Amino acid sequence: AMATAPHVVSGTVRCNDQYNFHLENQAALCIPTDTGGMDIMATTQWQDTCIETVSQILGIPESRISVETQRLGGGFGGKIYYNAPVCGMAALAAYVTNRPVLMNLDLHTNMQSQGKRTHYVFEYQVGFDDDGRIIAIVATGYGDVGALLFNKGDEYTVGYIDNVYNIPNFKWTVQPVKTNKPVSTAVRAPGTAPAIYGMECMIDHVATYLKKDHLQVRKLNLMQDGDTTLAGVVLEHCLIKDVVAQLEAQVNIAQRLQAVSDFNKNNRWRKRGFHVMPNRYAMVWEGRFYTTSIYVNHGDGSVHICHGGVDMGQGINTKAIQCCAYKLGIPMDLITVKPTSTIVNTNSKYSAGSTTTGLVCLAILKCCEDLLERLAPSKAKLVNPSWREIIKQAYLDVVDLRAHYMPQIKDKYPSEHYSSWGACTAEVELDVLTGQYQITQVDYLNDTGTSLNPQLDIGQLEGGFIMGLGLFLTEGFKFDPMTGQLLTDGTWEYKPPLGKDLPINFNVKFMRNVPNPTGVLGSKIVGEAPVSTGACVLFALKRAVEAARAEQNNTDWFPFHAPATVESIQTACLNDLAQYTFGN
Amino acid sequence: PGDAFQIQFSINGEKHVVYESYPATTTLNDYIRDVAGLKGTKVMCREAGCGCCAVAVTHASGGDKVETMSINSCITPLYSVDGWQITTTEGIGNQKDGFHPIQKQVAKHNATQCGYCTPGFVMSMYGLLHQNPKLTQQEIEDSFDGHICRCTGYRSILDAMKTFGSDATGPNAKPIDIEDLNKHLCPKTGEKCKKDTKSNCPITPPSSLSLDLRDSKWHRPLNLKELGTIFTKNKGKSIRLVFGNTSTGIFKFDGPYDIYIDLHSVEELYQYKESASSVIFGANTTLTKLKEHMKNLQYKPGFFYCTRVIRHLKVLASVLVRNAGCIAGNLMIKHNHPDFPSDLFTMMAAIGASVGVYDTSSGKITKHPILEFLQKVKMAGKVLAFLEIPKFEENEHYRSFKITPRWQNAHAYVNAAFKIQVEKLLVKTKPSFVFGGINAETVHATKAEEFIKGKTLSDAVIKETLKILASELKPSSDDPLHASAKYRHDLAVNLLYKTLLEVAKPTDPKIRSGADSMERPISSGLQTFQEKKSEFPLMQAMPKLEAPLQASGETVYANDIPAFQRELYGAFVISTVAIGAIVNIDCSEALAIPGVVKFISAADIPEGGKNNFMDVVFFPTIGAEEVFVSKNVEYAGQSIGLILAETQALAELAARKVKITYGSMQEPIIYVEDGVAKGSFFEQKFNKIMGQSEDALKNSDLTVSGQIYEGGQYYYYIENQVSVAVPTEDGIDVYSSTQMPDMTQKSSADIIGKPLNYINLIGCRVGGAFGGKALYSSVMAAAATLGSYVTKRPVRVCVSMSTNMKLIGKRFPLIARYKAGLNRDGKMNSIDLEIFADNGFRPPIMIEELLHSLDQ
Repeated sequence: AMATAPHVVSGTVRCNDQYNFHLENQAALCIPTDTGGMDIMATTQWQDTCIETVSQILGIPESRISVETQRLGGGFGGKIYYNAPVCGMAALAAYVTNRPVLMNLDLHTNMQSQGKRTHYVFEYQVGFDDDGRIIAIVATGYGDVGALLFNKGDEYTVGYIDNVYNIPNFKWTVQPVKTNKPVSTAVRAPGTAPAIYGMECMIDHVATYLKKDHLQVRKLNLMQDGDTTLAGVVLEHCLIKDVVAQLEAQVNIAQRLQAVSDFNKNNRWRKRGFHVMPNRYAMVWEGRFYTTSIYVNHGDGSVHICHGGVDMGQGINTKAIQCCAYKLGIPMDLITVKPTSTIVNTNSKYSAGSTTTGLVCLAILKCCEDLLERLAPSKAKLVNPSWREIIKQAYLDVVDLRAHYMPQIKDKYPSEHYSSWGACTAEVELDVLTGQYQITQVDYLNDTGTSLNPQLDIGQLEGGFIMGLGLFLTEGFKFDPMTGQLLTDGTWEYKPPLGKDLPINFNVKFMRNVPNPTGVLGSKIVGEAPVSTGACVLFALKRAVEAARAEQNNTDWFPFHAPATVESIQTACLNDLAQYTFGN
Repeated sequence: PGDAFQIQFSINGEKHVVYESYPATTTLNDYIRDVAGLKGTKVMCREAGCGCCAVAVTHASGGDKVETMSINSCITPLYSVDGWQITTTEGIGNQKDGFHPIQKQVAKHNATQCGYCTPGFVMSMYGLLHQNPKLTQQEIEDSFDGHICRCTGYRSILDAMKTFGSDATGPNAKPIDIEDLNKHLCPKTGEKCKKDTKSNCPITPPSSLSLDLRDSKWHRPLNLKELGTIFTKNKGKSIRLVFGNTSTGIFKFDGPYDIYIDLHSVEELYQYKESASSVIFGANTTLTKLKEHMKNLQYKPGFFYCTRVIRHLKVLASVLVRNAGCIAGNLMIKHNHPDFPSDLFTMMAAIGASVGVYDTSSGKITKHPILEFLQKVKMAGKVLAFLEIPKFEENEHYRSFKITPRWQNAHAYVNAAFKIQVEKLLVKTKPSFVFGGINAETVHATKAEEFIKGKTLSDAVIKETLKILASELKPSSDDPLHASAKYRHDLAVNLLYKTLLEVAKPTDPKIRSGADSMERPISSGLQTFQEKKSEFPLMQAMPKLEAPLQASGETVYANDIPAFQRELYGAFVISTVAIGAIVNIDCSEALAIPGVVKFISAADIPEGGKNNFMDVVFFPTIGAEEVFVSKNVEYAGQSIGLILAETQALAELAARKVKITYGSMQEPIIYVEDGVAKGSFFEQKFNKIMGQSEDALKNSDLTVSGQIYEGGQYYYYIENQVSVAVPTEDGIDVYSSTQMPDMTQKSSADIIGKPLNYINLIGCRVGGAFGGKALYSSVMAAAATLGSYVTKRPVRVCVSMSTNMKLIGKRFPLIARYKAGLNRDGKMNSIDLEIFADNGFRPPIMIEELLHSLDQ
């Protein structure tokens, strides 16, 4: 198809690595138990790996090891794999000294030793027609996986590389690259955010090449129901056209573009950029599940939940209580969530991929159904009873007041793919002479299904978006070329966004009345999608840089790598001393 | 020993340096558990009575020979162990380095159940084997008098220990390997001696020590002169002489003192001198050492009586106490508390011993007959220097007795010692008839002694002697703890009769049967059962899997959980009257003690909280019972409040200083008989009728009727009740030694008016329960929870044995009145039975259980 395409462009772009920067560093407290085991409190997203690691190091059965996690001070994927070695080391130390050992890594050690987001270099060829309709893509992602190949090394990019576009012919190759660095690891939206960025770079290249409006070219290629994604999913309930249309109307894109254009005409050394980026986040289940139990206390009817998810800030516990209160018909303050423990939540998988909350909620709904069924005979004995009276009766009737559930394949929800759809506009103003810029406005419209808790979901969306800004704009690594040591291993060298890096005007909106037919109570996942959308600002900056380059009559496509730092933005503006005049 | 401002010692080979940072009353046990963090050494009674705190100590005080023995860590002052090596059960074996043979044998013999007493037994055995690696099984069996086990019934423990006997045979016999005793501990480092340097490694002589512990001073003089100087410098101050400190097990609240003088290094007090007419023992001679000396002496002419003294010394306190306590300590208890039935004093008075008294002001030692020491010598400014025992004349006969409610480790009802010189039935000289436990004054039965002198023993003389004795002994009857005056009186008379029977040797064996004391041979037992090999590992006899860990002290019980940051310790303030209304609670004195943080009571229960720990769905008939008395006291020992302090010792001290004023006090009903007589009945009454008992009774050949009484019983778990309440971000974690987590959680939530899911109740391994940690764990947990809620700090409530015994309910005493009808063959036709059960002040819960088991 590539050979017959009217136009073909090719290019190379880079998407950098990123450190998770959880404010709570990796920690493990290992306490030898009186029967030769190890009780562990670990800052992990995956308790099972901690148990396996400690079991292997100490040569003791897994059943003698328990891991408890109350919550994390941030995880972002960094505590899926990289807490296990910390547990292992602390456990070995505790075993050798026969004393409790607390290991709490300092930031520098944590940054040096822990793998980061996989750094990708995308090489692509895109074939398309005169309108910008893409006919074929041949692309390769070289992923810097560090010293070892972990997993398949493709990071599920196949599910995301086509983003929201229906590409009829697509050849996607991932080539893991070995470097002498820690093994790269999951960082919020691993693979996803770089892949979507890669696709956006390609389509950006097409629009720039054709000198067409970027949004129009994108709209030409949008997916719709019945299309098959690169990952092979036949789309149903595809909302992307609706989302883009609604956003277009909401922010009056045409007017905004005109204003930017006018501004750029009137300002040589200040340039504005405006960009619209659509986004798809495919829910990938991967067979994760979380064993979940609810317990009713007979004394007062209060309930406690023990679920296998790890609350790292995303608010599983709150949603779990909401679901439980909703299903049992009791006030939320009767319900509490206990820390995650391998004693009761044995075999729960890692909390990741935005899916944990939904799966825990699903399990809680099932537990509640089970419990209500068991309570029914006791309830029937009473006239208009309160919850407390039902529970008291059930206790005297010797009813088991605990219910347990683990989501499984037969539950349709986790086995079915769905996508959440979004689109974002960003406007920036660039100081061409310094490379400094401000994000003046971002409008983000997202399909969250029927949100179980819009406040928490907005928190996820905003936080993810800003983490994306870090990935695409400010965060980057430097290494000693001789020793390979990480030089940017602290707060003075490594720069996640701060409070003045967010858009000056940041509007977030959820689509109305779009229940997800396959989600828990109609909801959709929301934690990771917005990371990739952070790239929207990078492209808005590129538009501003293009305006600066246009002053030099340079309208050619150029690669604009992530992170687009102040330094690289200014450099990309190609300022020419000859133009530094007073206009006389 | 370190410099003058610190002490040094080792625990399990690890060096510990302690500065002047703890009060003088801090015990070795406090340090081992709370500072060194070695929780294998347990603590329960804190009065050297239960043995779970036993540790082995190695030191050279008393000469140049390093010796190892086991002692009670709970009464050993921390500052007395300078230069010692301490060995705890973790130090002799553990799961990582391998278990010690003693631990292995204990496990193998299933000699652990709850495991709380086990480390003490293990360390006692370890110390015993140090003292004598060739102990016989009999000696081993004799040597666990300082240990209580409530679970096993001892057979398995003794079987395990006896495998180390030099005369043990059979497949389990396990002679101890000298390597397993760390025989060559270096007195400097506490490590195993490196043999090549042995010759260059003389024992460091002790140095004097002078510590300023703020509230008091701690001195360790090296000789009597230094001791005298300390006395002179501290005229007018209260001075406590310390050696084994074992008397604090009995007289707990003596003090506090300004000056503590550790006598361990005073060299003159260790003398041992045999002469033609007497033997002198330095006052610092431990009771164990005294016994050892007498083992040699007993074969020497004139000292044969030592055999009898040894027999008696074996029932004086326990091995652990005798290892720590010395002659002077025991005699000084008698001097300070003349009503104390000191066995040593009774024996020595009859023997005719003397003591040397060192006067610190004159610097001279004077000798006094022991009776004069008791009755005439004022000991202020003076120190006992030695005990001297005489050589007996020919035909002088000695015998002494200790009659106790339990064979080992019990105070005497009455003890007695007799010395009588008899030649062909003629009592040649005035004998000594000495009694303890009669009253504070009586030592000699002088009239009986006078009477029998010069008489020839005959029925008439014996009768008259006993009659005179009977009339001159006037047992006191003011202490309800003592046995009845009549029993003590009759017992004293009978002991003299036994002695005279032995001396007179009547020919009629029937009469002579009264002469001997009971001798207990070594015990044995046979266990018979069936295993089912086809079903193994089911139906296979095997010891508990955690048994080795219990023996090595590695199992963690609630009070072994390490202290949480800013943890407070609680001590209950309990009522001292049975019926009364609280008029006033004055805790000003208690709260004035630095480190005492708060007193909480019913007034601190927040709005919505319930002052009732017996609110249980499962027991609908149960009555309410307050966590803290709100107004009216229902029994003596009821919890009124909880003192919270920075240490357990401070909490206990402050709790004793809280003054409660009661009004409307009344005489309580204490015994079930009184309750029946006064018609003090609950509404509940339980009936069970089968057949027509009245008719059947009438038609019976015979009828019998009567009334029997059954007393109550205390659980006597070796682990007292423990609750630790720790505030968390969204509730309180409560660690409890409970049998009944459900109700314990409920009482904790209720008292602060929170839902149950506010409380995480973590049930811990329980060190014995027997039903006693069901209902009453709830009061402990509720009190700890309230304390934690009010102060926002972790609170540990680990009650003292005394409070534990006073506060909680026990097995109910009963009176059963019965009428039974039977036929001539003894077949019963009918029983009419009425049972009165003493439930205490609130309605019962378990009383119906009685009805299920009545027909046996």
